[in-house]
Amino acid sequence: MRGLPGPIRNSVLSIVRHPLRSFLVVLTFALGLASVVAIVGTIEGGRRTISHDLEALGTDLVAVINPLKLGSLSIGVRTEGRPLEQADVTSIQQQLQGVTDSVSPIRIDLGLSSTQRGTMRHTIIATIPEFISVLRPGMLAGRFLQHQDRWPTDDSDETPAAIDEALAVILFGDPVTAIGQKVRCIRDGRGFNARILGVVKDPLLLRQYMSAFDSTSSARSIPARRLQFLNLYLPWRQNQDQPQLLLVDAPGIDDVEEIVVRLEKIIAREKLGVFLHVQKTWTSVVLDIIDRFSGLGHFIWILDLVVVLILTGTISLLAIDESLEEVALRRAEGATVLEVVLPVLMEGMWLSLAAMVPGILIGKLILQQGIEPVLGWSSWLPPRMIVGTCFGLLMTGILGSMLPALRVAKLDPAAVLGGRRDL
Amino acid sequence: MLVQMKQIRKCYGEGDSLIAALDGVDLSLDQGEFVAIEGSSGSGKSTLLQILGCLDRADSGTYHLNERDVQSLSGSEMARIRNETIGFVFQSFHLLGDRDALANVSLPLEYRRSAPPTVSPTQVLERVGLADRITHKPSQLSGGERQRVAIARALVKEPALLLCDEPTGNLDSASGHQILSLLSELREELNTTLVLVTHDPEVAARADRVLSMKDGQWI
Ligand SMILES: Nc1ncnc2c1ncn2[C@@H]1O[C@H](COP(=O)(O)OP(=O)(O)OP(=O)(O)O)[C@@H](O)[C@H]1O
Ligand SMILES: [Mg+2]
Repeated sequence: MRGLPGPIRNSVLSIVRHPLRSFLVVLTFALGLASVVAIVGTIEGGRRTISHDLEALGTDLVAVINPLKLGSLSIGVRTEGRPLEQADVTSIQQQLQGVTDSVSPIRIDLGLSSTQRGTMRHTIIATIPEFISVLRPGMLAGRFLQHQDRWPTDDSDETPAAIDEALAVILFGDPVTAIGQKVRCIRDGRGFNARILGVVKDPLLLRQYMSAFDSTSSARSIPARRLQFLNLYLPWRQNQDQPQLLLVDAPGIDDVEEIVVRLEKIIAREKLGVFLHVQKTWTSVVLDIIDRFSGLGHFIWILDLVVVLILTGTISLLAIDESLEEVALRRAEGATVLEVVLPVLMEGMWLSLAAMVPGILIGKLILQQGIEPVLGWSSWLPPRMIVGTCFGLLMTGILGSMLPALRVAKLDPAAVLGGRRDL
Repeated sequence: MLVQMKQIRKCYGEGDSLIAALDGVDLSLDQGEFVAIEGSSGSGKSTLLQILGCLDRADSGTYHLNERDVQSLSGSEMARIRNETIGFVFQSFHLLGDRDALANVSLPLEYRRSAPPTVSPTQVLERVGLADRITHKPSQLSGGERQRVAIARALVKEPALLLCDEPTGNLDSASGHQILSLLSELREELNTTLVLVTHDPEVAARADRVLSMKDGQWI
């Protein structure tokens, strides 16, 4: 203590000598910081979860769609020319090698499947094993189709298949027990038997959060049902299946642009008449909405710090009156204005620093115990947000000491010591 | 010559309520001199002491302390002079209530920029007769003892100029007496210039000079 420079020592002593006051100020700072942490953690966590869910749906996909087969679909650009064929698929796969996660030809049919539990109309997708990269959430059980999984040469043999979690629930009850089960299917008027190799995890984690918000709302079930994924995945038959669309999976959203440019060149050169559908567009709309949401968070964040500023400013303004006689005496004994103002500013600084760790811990506790169980998503505190908030709190601590510091700076020691100032 | 003041004026308020607390005061003090100032309430005695003590500035006039022109000094230079050259003793002691006698006496040394004084706070406390009260808080001390602590606080700076504004005003006559004897003893021991504002004719008798003030002027 003795070795410290005067203003630092005096600011620390002032804190130690008024434990209750210091405790209340630290508590105000800590709770203010905690609520900022809770708000930021909730919004950033939500943003991350939603982005993650969007990614799970395939945010970075570019689809080249044959208009002849899927004529009602009108999203994207329609080019003039011939439809996409197997040979184009191979050539696009080669030309985009290295810049994509996968380039999968897809045949989609509306099919019918039945088990002991019932019969269900659903989509059947024939594609190559690389398509697994599009299925972001991965497998719930078993594995996806691999190269050795082929259509049997004999029609009575079983075709290896993968199934979406939601469809497995309908056909088998518990999706995990679907592995190894047999299912009778009809596609394009032809019946065959399929054996389930794996169950694809439902990407729509969002649905769980929707129901967590309000379990009594009937409205929630409408979008939730529409978003269900009900596919059976079958092996691609080279030279036999006609591609209805080609799904190009970009490594990330930022890579989509370049892939689109390259695809457009190929389409123009080959004179293909296809729709080019880019998923990134609607993804960015959703992300944009979330960004506005987090903008609101910033507003609350600042409002919160202003409230803390007013509270702590008031406390320290009231407190400073107590020490004005001491300040006047110190001035008479040779302290400069700076030497009496600095400890006041530093006191606010120390108290806000002292509140940082408890504030963040309380905030995390609120997130873990109060918010996460209700919202159902995990919170996320980006380090730069923590740094920013702590810096904001430090500034609040110093700003809150400004008014008392100003009062100290303007104090006329002669008036106080001459007894002409009413305390 | 320690102090040389010429035509010092100090006004308070403005417009109709303008009061000249000091209205053209001259004052010269030699090193080691003991000057008593008397005068009715509101005559300007405290105002003069504040200007002498570099706690306040005059509106006009000249003030030289140790040959330095005080009127032209900056705020921090005045603070330094208060710390190194001037000791204050106030009527209401102005001790820090939550600190013991020793801490109160040590306070001026926190702001010492030049070499520390030759005496220690403990030595000064012993000199004013408080050797066994060093760790007492002001609330545990009598009025006379508190004023001794305040005197020790002023003397620890080894000031050339000791300014006392009615130092016995809050004390009973017996302890007031002791304080006055202590001050005049110390003045002789340390060869400090002592300026003492008082209403007590007995004090005036001990002083080298007695000055009377009325309406901001000498009479
Ligand atoms: N800060 C101030 N603001 C306004 N007027 C002041 C101020 N300080 C002093 N005065 C006025 O200046 C005059 C002189 O005041 P001062 O305190 O010097 O008198 P004093 O001789 O010490 O009186 P007392 O014996 O009562 O202590 C008084 O009329 C007082 O009202
Ligand atoms: Mg007075």
